[in-house]
Amino acid sequence: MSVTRRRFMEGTVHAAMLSVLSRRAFGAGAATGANRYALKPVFQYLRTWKAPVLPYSQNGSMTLGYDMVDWMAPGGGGEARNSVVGRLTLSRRRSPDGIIDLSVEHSCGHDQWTADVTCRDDRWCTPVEWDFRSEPRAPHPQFQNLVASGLKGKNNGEAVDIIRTNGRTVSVPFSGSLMFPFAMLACPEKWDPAAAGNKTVTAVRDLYYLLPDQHFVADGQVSLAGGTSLSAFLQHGPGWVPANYVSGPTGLPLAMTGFLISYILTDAEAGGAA
Amino acid sequence: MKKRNIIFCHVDQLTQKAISAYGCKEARTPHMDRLVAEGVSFMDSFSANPICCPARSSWYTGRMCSEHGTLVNNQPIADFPDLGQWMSGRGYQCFYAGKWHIARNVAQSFQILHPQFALGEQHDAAVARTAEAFLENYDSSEPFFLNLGLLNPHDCCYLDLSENKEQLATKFGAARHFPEDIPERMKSFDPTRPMPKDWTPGEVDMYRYYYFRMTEMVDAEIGRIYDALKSSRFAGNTVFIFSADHGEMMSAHNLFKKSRHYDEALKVPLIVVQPGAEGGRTDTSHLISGVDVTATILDYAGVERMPDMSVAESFRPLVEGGEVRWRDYVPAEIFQGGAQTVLTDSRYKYNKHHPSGTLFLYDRKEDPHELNNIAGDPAMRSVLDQFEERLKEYQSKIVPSAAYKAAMKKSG
Repeated sequence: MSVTRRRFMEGTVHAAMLSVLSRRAFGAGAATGANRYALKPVFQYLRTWKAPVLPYSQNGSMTLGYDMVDWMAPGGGGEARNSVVGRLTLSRRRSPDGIIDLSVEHSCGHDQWTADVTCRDDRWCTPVEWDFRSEPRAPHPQFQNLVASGLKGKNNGEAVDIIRTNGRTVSVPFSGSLMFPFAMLACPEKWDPAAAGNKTVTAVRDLYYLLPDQHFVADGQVSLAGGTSLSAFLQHGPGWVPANYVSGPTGLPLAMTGFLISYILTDAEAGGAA
Repeated sequence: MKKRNIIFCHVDQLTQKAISAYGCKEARTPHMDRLVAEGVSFMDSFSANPICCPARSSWYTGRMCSEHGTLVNNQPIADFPDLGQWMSGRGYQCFYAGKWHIARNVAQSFQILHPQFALGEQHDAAVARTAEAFLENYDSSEPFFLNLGLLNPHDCCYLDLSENKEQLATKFGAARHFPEDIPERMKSFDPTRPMPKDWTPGEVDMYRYYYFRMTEMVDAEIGRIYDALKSSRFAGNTVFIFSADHGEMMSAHNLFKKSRHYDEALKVPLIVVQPGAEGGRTDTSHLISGVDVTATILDYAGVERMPDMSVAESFRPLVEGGEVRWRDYVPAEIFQGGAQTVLTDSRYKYNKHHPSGTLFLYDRKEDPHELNNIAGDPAMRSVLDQFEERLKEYQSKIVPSAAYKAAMKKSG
């Protein structure tokens, strides 16, 4: 992509995000159905954010780097603010044999975890098995051995088996489909705008907590010049605050916004090591 | 006999009314429900002061707020010993992970496994994983006292922080996707009356929707911790105590948050699972204070009480099914908005707002939603007289701090 084209795209995405936030009609197309709340948790951060403009590719490998952004406001008034409090890196590799391998690195303050997840290349990017390692930094080195742990997860279609490193096994039943939010984030081609709101899926948060009865629905689109768009999807259901997934004009998954914690794309690279 | 391990797992801003085992239909809390099924629930359990820092200071010092001196959030605490310091010197390994929020460096009191982070949405899973890892990896022969400070559903405090609704992180508009999931309104909520910050009834509904989701989030963390204990080698010799520092108004009486004398803010869950004690019991006849948690932990540890715990009583005998002489009324204190003393007995709740002299009296049996202040009813004169006597008795019993004396002087 030429430097001029890249700069144009950066400006386009940035302006689109801000227009969604400020309710201005954008470009040739009006902001139809735009749900500004999808981005409000990060509105301050977006003022200086530069959007990655690499075209999204479903095929092969891709590494996506996100800032973890908090939302805070002074009690009783004053401008809300966003701070970068952590980092999420998703490395995704699609194989021709119907498998998507996903590597997750998640860090915030003293808390750090990594995971390798094998997913099926299906409607929900279904997680099949995973290896999760939690290696937080203890405030005192003396306790480092007390706080590190790991688990393996296996989805047998009817239950998720969690096997701890000490051998303890927990089996949690579920019915229907299973999805892992970060796998969905890394695969925006799975976000189905025609998905019916009454269909539900079980989500596995942090590769441990099963959240049944989750809905994943289209939640507004902003048309941009040149026929591209900014699209938002909403995950809602018991056990989690409403979370939006937002993709941009190049198809990149730009954001996942919760309530006080959101993830905003800062880096995208094709061919990352998955 | 081998000393017991003790886990004190606490959450922030959880009202008793948000637990499904206690009748809440708006949240799914299977893990707290399991604690209820396997432990003893104290249904008349009251925060010592329904705001974070004072309530937590009472938990850890065993003193009422008027005594330890932290009357409101972030006010300094007097130099009394706390549970961590006291038990560390008496044979226990004392650990802490998560929210502390006492105006004292937690590292002076406990060995820190995981520090505090401000947001439950991110923080609580880390604390639960830390606890799980600890229960797998702890290999000392010394007993442990593990304290776990989970944050949610406290994140609801951020729902209305900004005066500018356009700057809120709350996804109010998302309600159009799930109108059938919007919680039923509270009996004491009046949508025709003005709301703080000009919120609409629909926005209040979403506040409650978020609150219950946050409650479900922390419920999952509690389950993770409890599962880890039950499958650990410590299961047979560890007492698990679960509570909350204070509740949440959830729009009851058109109010949010805490620092109120109403049950939504003042009453907290308190569940004890003791190996060998009969579970699935609900105690509705004993009036419990947050400071009783301190006395109970020391009782389980076989450690002598800290000095000047003037109100605190151990409820361990009640968990074990024994008979014990108990108090007739339980005190609580509120200092935000002026010094108040709340006294509750089995029938009535009394509150005196000291600066104005305003009295509140509710009949807990006939008016469980606290809709009618009957303090002005001439028929209640003898009840008020009895509470005035109790107030004097309570004030003579406590060991007042300098901060309390100053607050009362200001109250006239």
